[in-house]
Amino acid sequence: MPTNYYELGNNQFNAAFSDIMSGLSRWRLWIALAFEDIRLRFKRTYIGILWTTVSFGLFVAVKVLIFSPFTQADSTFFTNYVAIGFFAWMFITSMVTDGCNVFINSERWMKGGRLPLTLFVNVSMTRSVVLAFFNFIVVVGLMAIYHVTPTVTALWSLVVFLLFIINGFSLHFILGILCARFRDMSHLVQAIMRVMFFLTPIFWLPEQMGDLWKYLSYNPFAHFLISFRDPLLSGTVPWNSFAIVLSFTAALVLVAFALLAFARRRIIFWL
Amino acid sequence: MASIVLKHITLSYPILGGAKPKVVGPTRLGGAGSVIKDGANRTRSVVALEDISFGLQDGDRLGLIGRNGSGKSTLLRIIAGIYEPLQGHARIEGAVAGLFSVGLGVHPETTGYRNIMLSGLMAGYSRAQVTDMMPEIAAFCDLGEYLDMPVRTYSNGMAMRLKFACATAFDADIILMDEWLGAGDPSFQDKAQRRLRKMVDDAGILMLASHNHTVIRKSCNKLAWLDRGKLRAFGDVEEVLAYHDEATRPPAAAPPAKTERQVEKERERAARIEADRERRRQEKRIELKREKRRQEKRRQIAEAKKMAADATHDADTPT
Repeated sequence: MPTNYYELGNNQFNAAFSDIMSGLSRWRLWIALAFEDIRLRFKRTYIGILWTTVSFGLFVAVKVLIFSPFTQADSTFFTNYVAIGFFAWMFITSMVTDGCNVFINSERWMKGGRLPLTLFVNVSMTRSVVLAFFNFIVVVGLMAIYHVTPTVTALWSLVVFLLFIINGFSLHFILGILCARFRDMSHLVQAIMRVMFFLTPIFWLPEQMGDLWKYLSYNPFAHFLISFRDPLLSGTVPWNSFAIVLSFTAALVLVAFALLAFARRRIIFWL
Repeated sequence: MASIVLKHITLSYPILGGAKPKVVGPTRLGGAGSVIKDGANRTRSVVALEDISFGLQDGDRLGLIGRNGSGKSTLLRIIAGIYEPLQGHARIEGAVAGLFSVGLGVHPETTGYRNIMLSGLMAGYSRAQVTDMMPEIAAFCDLGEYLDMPVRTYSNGMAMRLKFACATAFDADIILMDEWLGAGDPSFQDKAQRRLRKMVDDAGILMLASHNHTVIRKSCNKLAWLDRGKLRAFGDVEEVLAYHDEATRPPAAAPPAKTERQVEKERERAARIEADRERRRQEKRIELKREKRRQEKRRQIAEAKKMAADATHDADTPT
């Protein structure tokens, strides 16, 4: 029989750590809740979750069609470039925007019983990863059509994807807590993300920007995108960008943990 | 193996956004509802519970009484681990089942069966274990084919049946109820009462917040009285109830404030009474006049008689 034991009013860093641990250990629950969410999102549709694949494919197709006249790159390269980049971007935005609402949307569960905050983050992350998998079908399909054979270096992209997940995890805590406390935050984040879409090398190449790239390279999202795309597409590892991604990851983890320790027991009163 | 220990628990709700309570009349000092202000004299939070300490052991069935806003629900939510007080210390051992509000902890868009599964997973059971228990839970809530429909289509009573079945199906050591078993038809209430009794008998703790003293007397062996966020009394049910009834007996009824309509009515009534009195006085005066006239007449008659008699007498007597 499962037992339950807890003390309230303990060291907040210990409590934050055990929140993460117990949240991770209840994988049955967060997987069930994530799939329930996905099931409900595509309820009574004929093709169900394939709608994400369809809409992603359509978007990539239109973007390639519109933007290839502006680039000197050959069409095979550019199509895959856009597809992989946009895949990474979609995953990033889904983590950022879902992160903003992760706790606000979980109010019903949080007020119904004692559950670790990490659990809701895991639900949201699982949902994002599953949807990303269905977007990735398009990327794989295009690479097959254009005979782009990934090298062994492409496995490096998998490592970067794991870093994406760790960053998404941290971002969920940071944005989820801030947006629960300051309701302007989620609108601000949305506005920023909409702008960032154009400032990130998704449908343009850094080389064609000339001097402008000096400034555009301050955008951290650009480095996330580059370090995921290059190993898969060109078989090279962009060490510079990778280092930036790594240090970003470390910083976000620390901020997220400190914020969780501070806000863990306060957040219920902010909902 | 359940136990609850609370030490000096104080909890206040922060106030965010524009809505700030306006203190009407004399400011309350201490207790629930007293406001905490920051340096700039802005209201920051409202105290819900202040310095609560008590302990419960296996087999304790604690009733909670107190007026609305006295902190009963907040206390139950602290024990459920939903709210964590920033001051004080709590230690709760045992699996907790909280029956707070029907809507909480239920997915409204999902079917009854899936909600049972989710509740089981939340209570820490595995998918296979919940599947094994499913027929029994379905039989208990007795919702038939409705279990295949989304919970949002349920009536209040039906949702409550499902929630109750879920909350009590998975062995809980501590049961928290917030004035809740009101809905549901009598037969279900019976069933629910029996199950609760059994769960509490199986070495557990029950905490029940209620305004219904009959229910408290029937299901509890201890009682706590919360008054404006403070623990006013804790102990034997009858003793606390007696103290509560004694302390809350209304003082000699002060005249209630009159409405304009009442004032109008009263004026009319007074006028009517005055008119009545005037009429009676008038009548009395008339009566008096009549009486006087009658007396006068009598006197005149008597005089006339006397005169007549005198005359006869005079006539009779020789002069």
